[in-house]
Parts: sequence; C-alpha cells; structure tokens
Amino acid sequence: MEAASGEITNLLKAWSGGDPDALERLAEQVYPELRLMARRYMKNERAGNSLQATALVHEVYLRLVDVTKVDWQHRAQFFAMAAQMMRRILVSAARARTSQKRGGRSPNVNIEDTAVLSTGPDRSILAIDEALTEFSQLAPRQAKVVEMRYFGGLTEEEIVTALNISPRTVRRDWDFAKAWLSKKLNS
Amino acid sequence: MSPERFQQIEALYHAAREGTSEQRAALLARADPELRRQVESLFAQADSGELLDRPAIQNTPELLGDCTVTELSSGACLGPYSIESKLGEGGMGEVFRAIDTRLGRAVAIKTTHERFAERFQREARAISSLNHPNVCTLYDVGPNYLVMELVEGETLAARLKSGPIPLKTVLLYSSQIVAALVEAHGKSIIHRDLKPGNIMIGKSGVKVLDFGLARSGQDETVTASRMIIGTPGYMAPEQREGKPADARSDIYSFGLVLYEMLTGARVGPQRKRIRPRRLKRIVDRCLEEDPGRRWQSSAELQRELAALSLVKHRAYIAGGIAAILALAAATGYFFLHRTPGLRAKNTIVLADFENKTGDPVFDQTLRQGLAVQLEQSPFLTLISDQQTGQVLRLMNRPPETRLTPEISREICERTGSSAVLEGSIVGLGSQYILWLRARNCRTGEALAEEQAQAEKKEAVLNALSRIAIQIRTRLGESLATIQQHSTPLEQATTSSLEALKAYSAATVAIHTHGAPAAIPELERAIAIDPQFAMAHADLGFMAYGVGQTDRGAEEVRIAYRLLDRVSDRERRYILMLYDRQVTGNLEKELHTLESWAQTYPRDPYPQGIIGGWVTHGTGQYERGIQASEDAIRLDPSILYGYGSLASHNLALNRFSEAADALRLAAGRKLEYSGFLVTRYYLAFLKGDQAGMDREVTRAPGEHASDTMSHHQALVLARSGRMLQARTMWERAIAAARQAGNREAAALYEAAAAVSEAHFGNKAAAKERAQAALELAKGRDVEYAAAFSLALSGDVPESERLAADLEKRFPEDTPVQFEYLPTLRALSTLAHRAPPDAVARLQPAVPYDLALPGTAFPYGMFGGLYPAYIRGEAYLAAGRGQEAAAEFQKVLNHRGIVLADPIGALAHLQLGRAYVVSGDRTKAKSAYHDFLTLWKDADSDIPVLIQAKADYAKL
Repeated sequence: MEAASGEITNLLKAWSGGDPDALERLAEQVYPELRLMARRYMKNERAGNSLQATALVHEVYLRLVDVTKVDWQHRAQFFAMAAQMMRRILVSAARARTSQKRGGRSPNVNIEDTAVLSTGPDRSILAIDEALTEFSQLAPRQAKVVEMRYFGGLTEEEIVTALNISPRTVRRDWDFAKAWLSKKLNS
Repeated sequence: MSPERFQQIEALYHAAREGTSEQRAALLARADPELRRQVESLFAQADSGELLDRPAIQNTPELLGDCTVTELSSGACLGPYSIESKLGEGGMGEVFRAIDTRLGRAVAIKTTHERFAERFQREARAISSLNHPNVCTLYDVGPNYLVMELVEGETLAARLKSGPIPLKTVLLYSSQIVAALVEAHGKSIIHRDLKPGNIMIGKSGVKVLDFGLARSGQDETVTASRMIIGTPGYMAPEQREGKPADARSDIYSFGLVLYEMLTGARVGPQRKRIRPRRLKRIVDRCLEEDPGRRWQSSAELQRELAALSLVKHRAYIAGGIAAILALAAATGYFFLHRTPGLRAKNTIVLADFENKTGDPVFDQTLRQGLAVQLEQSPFLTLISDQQTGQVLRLMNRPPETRLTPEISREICERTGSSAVLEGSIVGLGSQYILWLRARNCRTGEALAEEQAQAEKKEAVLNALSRIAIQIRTRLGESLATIQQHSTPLEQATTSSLEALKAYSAATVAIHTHGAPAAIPELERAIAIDPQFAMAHADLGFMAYGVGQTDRGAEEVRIAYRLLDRVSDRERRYILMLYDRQVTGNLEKELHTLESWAQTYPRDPYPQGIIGGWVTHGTGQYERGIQASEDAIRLDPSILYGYGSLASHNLALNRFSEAADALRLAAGRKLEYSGFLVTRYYLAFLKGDQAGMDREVTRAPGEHASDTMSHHQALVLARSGRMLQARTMWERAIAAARQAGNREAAALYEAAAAVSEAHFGNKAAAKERAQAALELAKGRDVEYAAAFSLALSGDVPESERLAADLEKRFPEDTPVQFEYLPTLRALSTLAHRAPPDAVARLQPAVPYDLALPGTAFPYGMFGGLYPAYIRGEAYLAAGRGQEAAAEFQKVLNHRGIVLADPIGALAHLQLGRAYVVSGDRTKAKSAYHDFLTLWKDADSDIPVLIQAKADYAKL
C-alpha cells in the first residue's frame, strides 16, 4: 500500500499541476478501490449502520493518498474526481441490476412461480442520473454540485473548494437543482 | 430550452425565494406568464428535498441486491457466513449453501432481488422464534437475504413431478405440514405462500420453508399501489383479491397442496376423485371459497387428519408414556422393561448376500459395498453389526450366525426395524447377475426389487452401486409409511420369536390394563417356550403382587433354574426375585439390588425395587424414600416410585409428604389403583370420612368390591362395628373368589379372623381362620390364621402352623423376625410363662417397626404386632410401665398401624397397663379414649363388655 500510495499521491499532484494523462492513470488506481469500498459499505449496510456515505470518499482518500504531501487543493480535486467515480459506480451497478431483471441474467422460471410485483414511482438512481445528465446541458455547474453532494456525499465546504465557488452559490445551486430535478422526475 | 431562458428562470427563482412574500408576489406579477408558470412549478416541488437529501449510496435498495448477487460465489463471505456453493434459483432469488463460521454449522442463504421492508426485518424476530421440527428455522435476516436452516432433500414440487404420492405417505406429510402451521398460527404468523415449492422432504421429515416472508399478524388492506406477494397459483381467493389474509388462507393453500399430493394434478375445473371419503371431506372443506366455511383453525384441521390416521395402536404414538400409564393398572406389579417408545426411523436389516457364484471373493465384499451405499442415504439407517450381535445373543444364537433371510427377518422384528434387504449374486458364463430385494419384515410384502448385470467380475461392484442407489431411493418413501407401525419387541432371551411377541404383548397389557391382562400373555409365552426365563420371572413377580405368593415363588424358582442362559440384567432381576419371593431373605435381596444399582447407576429399576417391599419389610423407610426419589429422578414415569415414596412417608407419619408424592404423580398424569388406597388411609388418619368415601367411589369396577371393601371392613372393625365389618368382608371375599384370586380371598378371611380374635369372638375367629386356610396356605395367610387361633384358645393348631412356617420359610425375613417370634410369644403366654414370652420376642426387636407381609403391599393390617404382643407379655408379667411403653408405641405409629384394630385396642391395653403401674388418672383417660372410639360399637363384643366393666371399677 505504501508504494501505491506514493504513486497515487504523485499522480494526484501531477494532475493538479495540469497533466491530463495523470488523471487517467490516477483514475485507474482509484476507481477499483472506491468501488470495492462502496460495495463493502453497501453489503454491511443495515438499519442503524453508523458509517456515513460521506465518509466513504474520505476513507478512500486517506487510504490512497499521503496527506502529508498534498495540500487542500489537491484534496478538493481528488474529491471532485471521486464524486464523479461514485456516480459511475452506482449507476453502472444499478444498470447491471436492471438488465438482470429484464431477463439478461435471470433464471428460467415458470410464470406461475414468479412473484407478482408492482412498484411505485420511479425514483431509481438511473432516473436521477438521466435527469442529471440532461440538466448538466443547461446548468453544468449546478449539475456538478448535485453530483458531488448526492453521489459523492461531499460537504458544502468540500464542494466550495473543489469548484472554487462561494458557499452561497453552492446552496442556491443545490436548491434550484433539486427543484428542477424533482419537477422533471415527477412529470 | 434556450440557455437564456434557463438563466431567466433561475434568476427569478432565486430572487423570489430570497425576498419577502410581498416582494415575491410583486416579482412574479411582473414576469411574463410563461416564466411565472415555470418558476411557480418549481416552488411547488416543496418536498423535493426528500429526493436528493439522502446520499445516493444510502438510497439505493436495488443496488444492495446487486451487490450481494454479483459477489456471492464459492469462497465469498457475507458477514460471518462463508459461501460454499449455489444450491439453486427460485422466483425470489438464489439459494446458497454457506457455513456460519461462528458456529461451524451449515446454513442456507436465500437472497432476494428486492430489499425487505423495514417492517419485515422487525417481524423477522417473531418468525425466527418458530422452532419446530417441521418448520425450516430462520436464523438471521439481512436487508435482502435470509439465513435459514439448511434442509437437504427435495422439494415437494420436485417430488410431485413423478406423480401422485401413496396415501400413507400423504397422511404422514400432511400431518407434518399441518403441525408446522399449528405452530406458526399459534404465534400469529401466517405463511401466505404455502406451496409445494416451499415444502422440503428431508431426512427427518417434512419442513415448511419461507414462513411469513410476506407479513405476519394482522395486515392492512392491500391496495394496488402496494406490493402483493404470493404465488398466484396457490393463493387463497381472498388473497388474490387483495383482501386481508389469515390462518384460513394458509388452510386453503394447504388444501391445494393436499389435493395435488393425492392426485398428482393441480386443482382444476374438474376435480379428481379422492378416497377415502373422510379425506375428501377434509380436502373439500379446505378449499371452500368462503373462508368462513373452511376449517377455522389449523388445530381443527390437525385433529381431523389425526382421526383419519390409520395407526390404531395408540400406545406407541408420542403422546407420552405417561398417557399410557394413566390408564388404570390393577394391583401391584413392578416391571423390568423399557417403557414403550418410538424407534429409530427407517431402520433396515441387511441380510448376508447369497453367493451362488462359487467364488469366495464375493462373500463379504458385496454386503460391505451395499452397506456403504445404503449408509449414504438420508432416509435409511442400517442395524449395526454390534446390535445384530446383541440380538443374536438374545435369540440364543452365536454371534457369527449367518444372516439368512429368516434370521434377518426375526432380527428385524425384534428390533422394530421396518424391512430386510436381501441380495444374491449368480454367475452365468462370464457374466454376473445381481439381484436385490427389500421386504417388509412384518408382512413379508416386497417393497422394492432391482436387478443388474455385470459383464465381468471387475464390473460387479459398480453394478451393485447402481442398483443400491436405485433401491435406496425407492425404499426411502415406502419405509416412511411402514415405520409408523413397527414397534420393537422386548429385549429378552428366548429362542422363539412367537414367545417374545407374547411377552411383548404382556408389556403392553401391563401398561394399559394391568397385571390381570398381562398374566395370560405371559402364560402363553411360557407355553410356547418353556425355557423363557424372563417370562417365568415376570409371571412370578406379578402373581406375587396380586397375592398369589405360592405361585409367585414357584415361577421364580423355574426362572432361577434357567439362570445360566440369560443376560446380565435378567440375571440380576431373577436373583433379586429369588430372594424376594422364594427365600424371602430381604437382606440378601437388598444386597443384590445395591450391587445392581452400583453396576448400572443410571438404571432406575433397581432403585425402584429398593424403594419397594424390601425397605418396607425391613423398616428402612428413610432408605426407601431415598431410593424412590432416585428412581423417579432417573425415570419420572415410574409409577411405583411415587407410590413407594408415599407409603414410606406414611409409615414415618409424614402425612403431608405422602400426599405430596401422590400429588406429584397426579401432576405428571400418573395414576394407579394403589394410590387410591394410600389416599383412603391418609383421609382416614385425618378423620376425613368424606375423603375416604371419595376414594371408594373412585375405585374402578371390580376393584371396589374387592380391595376397597376389605379396607372399609378394617375401618369398621377398628371402631367395633363388627356386624357391618363382616358384611364388608363377605363382599371382599366373594369378589376375590369370583376373580379367581384365592390367595386374596384367604387374606381377607384371615384379617376377619384376626379381628374376631382380638375382640374375643373365639368361635367366629376359629371359623374364619379355618376358612382362610382352606382357600390358600401362603405365608401371610398361615401366619394370620395361626395368630387368630392362638388368641382364640386353639394353641396346638397355632403351634403346628408355626412349625410349618418355620419349615417352609427358613430364611424369610418377616417369618423369622416377626411372625415366629409373635406366634411363639403367644404360645408361651398361653402356657402362662410371660417372662419367656418377652424373651421370645427378642429377635423381633430390630424389625419392630417393619411392615409385615399382611400389611404390604395390600393387606394393610398386622403392623406392630410384635410390639403389641410384647406389651401383653409385660402386662401379664405385671410390668406396667414397660407394657405402657409398648402400647404407646403402637399408638404413636399411626402410619404403620393404619386401621388395624390394635390401633383402638392399644388405648384399652394402655389403660390396663396404667392400672398395673398404679397411675389411675392416666388409666381412666386411656379407657375413656377407647370407649369414645368404640361409642358406636356392637354392644355384644366381649372385649367391650369387659372394658366397660373395668372402667366402672376405676
């Protein structure tokens, strides 16, 4: 872990310094870690679980990066990247699940044995993701705020740093985005 | 939407929100209608916070399912559970086999696509409280998975693919399924999804899975917008309509399952015929469309199915040994045997392979190979070689005896197994033919047959394995129906199976109808096999218990002569009986029993017997209490343990402890006619006439005329009401004679003789004594007769009888230490030599407080006679104080004397003693006590007339 951490730290710094390749290689390292942690988190999740989703990204960060060698700006960028990764992880997991339900991987069952189910309104992650993607065409910054907060679980302060905007803007963006997305999803 | 438009909306939105309500109103009013509409629609999303406020990772129920499913494969871990393999897939999700690493046990984990409602997780606690052999236990619950008991077997659904199920098996499965429903409904858990796919047929019976996976308890009305769970095919009509479901919905589903088991087909517009008619009625009522017309509870359904059951022999159904014993037994007997119980399921006996090839290589290997295959079946158990050896010994055969089909069949019956598996191999040129057949060993009916060919020698074992697997599956099902009927025979040494069956029938009879029913069966066993030692021994034991002491002794003597061929335990039993009933040497008997108890510390039997006659007859009541308590502790169903506990406490005057012992038995649903007598005397000692009358009315049938009349006679005699007492005795004697029990009749005559003798009715006493001796000459009858004769002036006859007793019973404890000393003392008194009389009673001193044979087990008279006669001897010698002490002893031990007339006469004698010692006040008081007791006595009784005269002089 030591060596990896050193490498990731360097990659992070490189990326912060403007090296686009570094981002790709960084992503390659971080993504699997994050996904593993996310799955582990979801597996252990029970009523009353104390682990906050927001802590997830922090944990990965602490695990992968040598914090003595980076500053708050690196951190902010890492978190922004992590939030984006989380979105991808959760969405792809949801997608895999859905395709399974539609018979992609589902077992051969007798129609009479299948449970009869009807569900409520569609508030699934996929719907949110779709709506958010559409929204980002119109309001990229606001969409980013949602991505960071909803998928990444970042705090207002972290979003402020990552996007280099004021706290008031973050709050307003969040309010507006929620209203807009709600309207979209409820229609 | 254009970017400019978007920005306008956003700007107005924020401005309106951040202003006061007036500002907002103003701003909106100023905006163009379209813009205004857009912004207002955004304001309307007031509850939008709910959507995104929880981070995505916490808000994704479907992801959790995905997570576990993609991760779960062999070797993966789900918390403490280590996944081993996938067992299958169902409509709701997948099932894995896993190990709970904390407990080291195998479990089944069922994952579901959807996350469970919070409510279900809460309710899971109630569902996991279901702990029943026919319910698949729920161990643990996760957000979308269940950890349950691993049931190995096949589902009923799979089984039904091969067609309908035989009736007996259907009844067996049904009773188990319904038992599961009764358990769950009792805890307000409704299954809601009962179907063949949820019923597993496993090794130890049927298990119902997925209980309450829907909801439990009262549910709210299900509307279209909420989830409906259940498999449409097996749902009750009200469930399909979304109405509330209850226990009766499960009953409907069960009806569908039952129909399908019987007919092999799902219920359709045309219903197939079901036989028998009672079963059809049950199915029809389960399937009523209207829940109000169905069986209203699973318990009711259970009763209906049970009544239909083909098993008649209720003695062997688990309902408790106590239930069996609760049926009235007759007079005392004690039995060595195991109480009947259920046997190991599905045991079969493997006969030796018949090797017709001439090639010795096949001699052992085939049977061993077959045994290996059979042992792998979850449905079968093989009788072990060790067990086989034991049974062969009991059959008087050497352990290396060849297990031919006949011998195997007998072993099968003796062990209560279900079937014998025979096999043979024959050579045809270079080929071999293998052949297996299973037979029901009781009926001889063939259950399964398989044949196979092997091209060469090396292929034989493979061929054997093949047909072994086939036959074991086919056997599994047919055995399930047989084993309900098979019961093990008693483990006793006899070379004849028929004799053993009669002997076993005697055991059953003992537990259901008592000694009188068992005696004929034992006689039959002996008629078939005269060398059947245990049958003789038990017959002796039982005969002794109903008062036939001579016959009892004779049978035990025969058993004793056969001692060299019985098992260790049988040997100890016979030796003990020999001491008990032939020599009468109670000290030796106690020694044998204690050695037995030491060698078999967990055997309740020797303890039970130690608590019986041997400790009563030697006056060791504390020891008797301890032994009875041990016996009860080792086997709470031992009837006589409680009786002995009561009688020992009674002898020690601990009346409430005695009553407690009987109450303990009653609490355990154990009742026995001997308890009645004890309760009768407890009431008597309390002066509770109503209680006494109650016990008399409780006595079953013929018993009332027999023993209870005798006890009532004693009570009447004790208060001097001889006319009534005589009537009662007549009744008792007549009833005993009618029942063919001469020895009991003789004892009753003797009791009457003794009473007449005590009261000075000499002629009557002599007459009664003679009548008694004409009926029987057992030890106790002879003594009582001799006693009466001595008191009535026929001393020579009394002496002659005493000499006869001495000759016949040189080692007998009561004879040597109570009867003879008493009779000799009486004789000496008659010859007017009182000091010698006292000396004659010296041997009795260590057994002064022991119960004589006339008192135990059922005569209830004659206790403390040596002390009483010693008192008379002292009186005659003019030693008032010593005399008073003896009579006081008699009065003190009410629990030993009971209703014997000397209990009243001791007052009178005490009075006389005080007169001799010069204490007039005490004398008067004692006389007064006697006369009070005898206030209703017949006025013509000599002893009363004398007493009144003497009292007047005081």
